[in-house]
Amino acid sequence: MVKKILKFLLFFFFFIFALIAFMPKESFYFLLEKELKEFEIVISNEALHENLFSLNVQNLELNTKGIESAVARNAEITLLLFYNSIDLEDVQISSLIDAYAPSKVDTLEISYTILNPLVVYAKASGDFGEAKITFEFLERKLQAIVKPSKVMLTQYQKSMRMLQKDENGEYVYAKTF
Amino acid sequence: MQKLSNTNLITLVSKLLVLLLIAKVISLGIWWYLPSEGVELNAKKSYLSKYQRVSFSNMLKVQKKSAVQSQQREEIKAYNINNLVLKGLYGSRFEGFAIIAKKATPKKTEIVAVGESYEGYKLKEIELSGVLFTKSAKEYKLLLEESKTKFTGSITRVENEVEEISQKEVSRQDIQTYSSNPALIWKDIGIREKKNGNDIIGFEVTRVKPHSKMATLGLKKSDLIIKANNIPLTSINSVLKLYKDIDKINTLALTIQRNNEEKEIIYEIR
Repeated sequence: MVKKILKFLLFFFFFIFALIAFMPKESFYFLLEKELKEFEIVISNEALHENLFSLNVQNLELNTKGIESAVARNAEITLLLFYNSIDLEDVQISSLIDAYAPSKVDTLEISYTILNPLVVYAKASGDFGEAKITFEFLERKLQAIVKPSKVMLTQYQKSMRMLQKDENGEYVYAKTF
Repeated sequence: MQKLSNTNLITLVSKLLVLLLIAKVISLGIWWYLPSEGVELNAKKSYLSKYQRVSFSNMLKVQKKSAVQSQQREEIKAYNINNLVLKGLYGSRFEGFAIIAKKATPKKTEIVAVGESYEGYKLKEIELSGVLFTKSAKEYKLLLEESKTKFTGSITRVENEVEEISQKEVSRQDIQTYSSNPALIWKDIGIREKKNGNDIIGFEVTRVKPHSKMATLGLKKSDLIIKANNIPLTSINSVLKLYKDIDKINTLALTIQRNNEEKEIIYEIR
């Protein structure tokens, strides 16, 4: 019996991985772009490279409502059905935010797993410091725990006032939509 | 009889190959229904290239050029009003006549009475320093020859609106104060996009704090800002580009609509 279950699992995972490997990842990306366009978000000038289990996007420019919002040198999109992630490197956010925070973000990792299907996790690090972000779908709640850098603490005190310092000495930003 | 092949292995490989085939067929089916190309941003307009004017007279030239361009379609069909010269006028308002000549033949004048047409332009009104023509429901103002040196850019009248021009000086320090602290801007002035359907046609001033620095800019509540340095403000991006580049600009000409009249406010940034 155990042997049969193991055999089934082997075939099942083999099939899933084969399916992911054969998936037209570029086409899925184009579908994502079309969906984002509905929200006036456009990703442009990017170069796409399909890998076995992921899609690599280079030099992408993010425009929100016609505003040049960010440029990222590299993005790796991994869709494994049970675990999905987008890893961005060298993100330069529009200088429009210079008055609020440093615009350079070194890494941004956004992940979603079916083990916790109602939450999206994100981790970011850059000139502003480090941040762990969670977004809860049901409560429509965004929470960011920030470890600010020295630059952030000294030069962006106005923005720091928007964060609340909790008992652990961490800075927390919370917003419900 | 000796077996030449391992049946179990062949079965396993066959099953895996079938699974691969099914996965490939499914992915092809999905590929068929998914879009084959993505979304790209429309071509960007260059914003900074026009911020080259340094003098008031240059600004008027650009404005005149823009006015001519806006009337281009109409004027291609007939005579260009900029090629007309107003030599003299007699009468007041709806009674009287104007003496008009073409720039090419300034000595060959013609007398046109109110209500009569000349080269497709109907004389509507006599004013103190010029005359008002109409053509295709649009109005064009032609000034007396000698007063043109003062008002070079005044032959612009689009959709029943006479463009007025006012000039103001703005301190660069004030601009730096506002750009380093954007929250201050929204304390002193309220601006929101105005749409016609889905298209942005300009940015409406919703409030101006009295006695603030913004109040000295000459903008009033309900003003609709439609152009900056002759570039139409038809997207949030165009405004933000202007905001980003404001430090590099020496002169800024805002075209606004106020009470259905077009007005231009020119800021010399010092």
